[in-house]
Amino acid sequence: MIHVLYLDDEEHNLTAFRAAFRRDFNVYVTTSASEAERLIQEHPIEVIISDQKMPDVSGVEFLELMMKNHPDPVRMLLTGHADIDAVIDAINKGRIYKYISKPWNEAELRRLVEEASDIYRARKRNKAVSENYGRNLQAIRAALVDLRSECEAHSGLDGAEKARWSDTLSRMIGWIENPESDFHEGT
Amino acid sequence: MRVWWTLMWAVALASCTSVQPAEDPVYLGTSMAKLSDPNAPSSKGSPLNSCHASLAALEAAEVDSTFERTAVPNMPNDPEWHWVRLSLPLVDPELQMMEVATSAIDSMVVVMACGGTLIQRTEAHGAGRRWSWGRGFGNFPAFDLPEEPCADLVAYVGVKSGRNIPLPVRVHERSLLERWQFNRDSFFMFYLGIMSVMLLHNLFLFVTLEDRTYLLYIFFLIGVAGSQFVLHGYSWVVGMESDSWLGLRFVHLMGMYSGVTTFMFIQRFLDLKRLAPGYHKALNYILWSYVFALGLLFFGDLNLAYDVINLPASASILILPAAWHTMKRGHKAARFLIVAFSAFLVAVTVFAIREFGPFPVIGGVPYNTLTVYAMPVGSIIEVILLSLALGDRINQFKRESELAREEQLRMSRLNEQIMQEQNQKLEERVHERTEALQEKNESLERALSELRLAQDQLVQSEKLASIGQLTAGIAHELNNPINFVSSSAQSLRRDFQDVAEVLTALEGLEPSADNLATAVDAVHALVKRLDLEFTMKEIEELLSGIEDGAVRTSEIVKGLRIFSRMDGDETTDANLNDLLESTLVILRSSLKDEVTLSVDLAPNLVPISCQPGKLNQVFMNLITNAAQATQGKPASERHVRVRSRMLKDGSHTWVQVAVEDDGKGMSEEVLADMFDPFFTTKEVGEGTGLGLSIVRGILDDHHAKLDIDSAPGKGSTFLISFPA
Repeated sequence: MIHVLYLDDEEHNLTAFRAAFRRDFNVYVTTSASEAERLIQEHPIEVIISDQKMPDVSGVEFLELMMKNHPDPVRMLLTGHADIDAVIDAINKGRIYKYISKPWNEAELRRLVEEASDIYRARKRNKAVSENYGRNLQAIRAALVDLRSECEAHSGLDGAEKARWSDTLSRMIGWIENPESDFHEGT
Repeated sequence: MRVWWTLMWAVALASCTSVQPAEDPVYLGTSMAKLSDPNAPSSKGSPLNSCHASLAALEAAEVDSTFERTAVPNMPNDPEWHWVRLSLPLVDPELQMMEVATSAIDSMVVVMACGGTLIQRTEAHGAGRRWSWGRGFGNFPAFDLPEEPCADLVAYVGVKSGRNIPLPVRVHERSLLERWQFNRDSFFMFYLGIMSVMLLHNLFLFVTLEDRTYLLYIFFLIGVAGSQFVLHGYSWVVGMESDSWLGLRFVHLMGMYSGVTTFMFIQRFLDLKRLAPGYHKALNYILWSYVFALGLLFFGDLNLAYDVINLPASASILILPAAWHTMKRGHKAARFLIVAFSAFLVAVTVFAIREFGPFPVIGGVPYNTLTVYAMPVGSIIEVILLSLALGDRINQFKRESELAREEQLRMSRLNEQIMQEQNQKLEERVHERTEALQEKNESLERALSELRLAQDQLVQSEKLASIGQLTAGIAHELNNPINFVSSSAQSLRRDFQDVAEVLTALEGLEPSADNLATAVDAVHALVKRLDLEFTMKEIEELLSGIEDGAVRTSEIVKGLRIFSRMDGDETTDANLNDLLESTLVILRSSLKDEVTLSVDLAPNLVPISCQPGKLNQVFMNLITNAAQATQGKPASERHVRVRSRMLKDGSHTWVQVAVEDDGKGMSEEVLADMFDPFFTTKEVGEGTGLGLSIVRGILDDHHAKLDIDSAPGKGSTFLISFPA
């Protein structure tokens, strides 16, 4: 289930949102910005939706703050009226993913939330893969270094063969250390 | 003019003949010898130089051989006593008196001796007195002869004066002397009459014409006549009969006065300053010499002063060439002066020769009635001729004024011509200017209409901006309820599907069925799976949300309906609270995240006749301005307060609306200009500057009063009072 947080000063909107999406997502709603931040800290929120016009803090301000404190969740701005200044600020300062205008289209909003969630998850997966890849590469490098020293210490190989193996292994290690370098270039 | 001349000479001759006595007096100068002191070469300290000279001293004195014997001898002009010895023929003392017919003597002593024996000694002091002798009075000193007859009667006569002294001594019958005195008096009465006539005539002319020349003539006349009176012993008339300080100097003062007035009059009469400046200057010098004479008279020697006074008088001969000169230069009246002064100079010359003795060239003149009266007669001629000349001045004035009038006429015609030309030029220029002005006017009108168009466009854009603000506000305000109503409806459908599913399950329960318990368990499981409890609560919430949304939507629509009359001009009765609320509905959403808005509306407002759409524009403008005035502070510290209330003020009822803010306030300069069109404190492009100007216009149309209370840092309050 996707974890969605919705912040709006209008109680009815919160009710309607929860009623619309509670079957599909894990919905967290609140009228308070501080409560919203607390929910983000406590739950694995993937998507943050905020209304723009609120008495204490505007949606842009809130999203800007979230970007700094919790950069992972995907941010979306919801507003009743196209306020071009708010949109510009939201994109530049809040780095939002999407901008949604009221009244929302339930299907579209669902789709957007799912897309946002996909992005969130893809990013997360990407990060994991990238971490794994790095870890594996280091393991391979360590194995290659071992292999090279074993090869150099091997008695059954003549000098020329040793040198050829050692050169190949060194190039492989060098390539792992610096992927930009040319693998075929001799040291 | 000829008639005048004839008349003049007739008068002169008549005056002479009228005083001509039956027989001329006999002066005894030839029997006189002047005495001198043999022991004293200078007269100072001599016993003779005194009024107290004794008979012995007089008899011992020598005869001055240089003394010329004439009928009327002349004593020199010095401050000494002069003595003469006079042998008197046998006379009849009963009838006869000795008279010294002159007024030149200041002090006099007569000592009479008969055969070396003093008979009588008479002293008299004081010039110009009315001497008393016997039964009558006379201008000249006279003495009774001794009562006893004496064959060789000798009279020693001692005289002293501040001037030269002619000694016309005569012995006549008292009655004859009295008749001569009467004749003299008569003549001088006549003289006085003529002079008075001249004086009054010229005084009248002076008053009428206000020409200073006449005044100078009057002074001159007084001088001329006064001199004659004084010279003929009439100074007693004005009280100058004593030997007082002034009395002794009166003849000198009179001479000076006469000289000064004569020269001043001549200067004026001949217009010397303009026509003959040289003569004018010369006469000025002469006038200054009188000041010198005046000094001598007051502080020095009387006799010397007399000479000094006579010296400039003789310079009056200058007057003739001066008059001639001015006549040559066109001064017509100058010929009168020449004649008049010639006559007077002749008289003066006669007088001078008579008084001071014979002149080398002219020779002497006898001391007789004709010569005595020559001066007064000459002065009469002079005065009358000059008066005639002055009269002629009137004619000259007339001619001159006629000429001046003609000149004036000519000038005015010329002026008229010039004026006409100028007028024509002026008209042409006015025409040119008018055309230029018309052109300018037209271009101004064009500019004005363009400006008006621009202003209309601006007003229109202001209106459009309001409408834009309105639509934006409404869109936002409507979006929220629409959003949750429509969303809630969809959710409700799903919730209802869950409920329906349970209902269907419940419907399928058969009480008679065997597996009832299992079926009920299944339904319970379904209810639990569907979380029906939560769903029911949610349905409640969604329904109340939908209801709330419906209410809010209808409110917004109502507000919109009221507000949408903004562009309409129709007048209707409206409650200002409704208008304020509808405005606030529209503004609330846009102000919500900016300011804390507090609304305090009195419940009992009476409706007022107004244009609601226009007033909405006013309220919207004022509330928006109030919110903008608080910019720059945190949202929680920004307050805008909207109030309404009823105010009873005597017979008047007011409905008041106040918009308050705690913003930056306004300076006095801003307060002064805030209602001017295009005046704005906002950034370029943020406001047209027409808002408050339109507000003012709308409120004026409603006869509403607008009071503003604002100061920098204090915030602003706009209080509108509508007459109910």
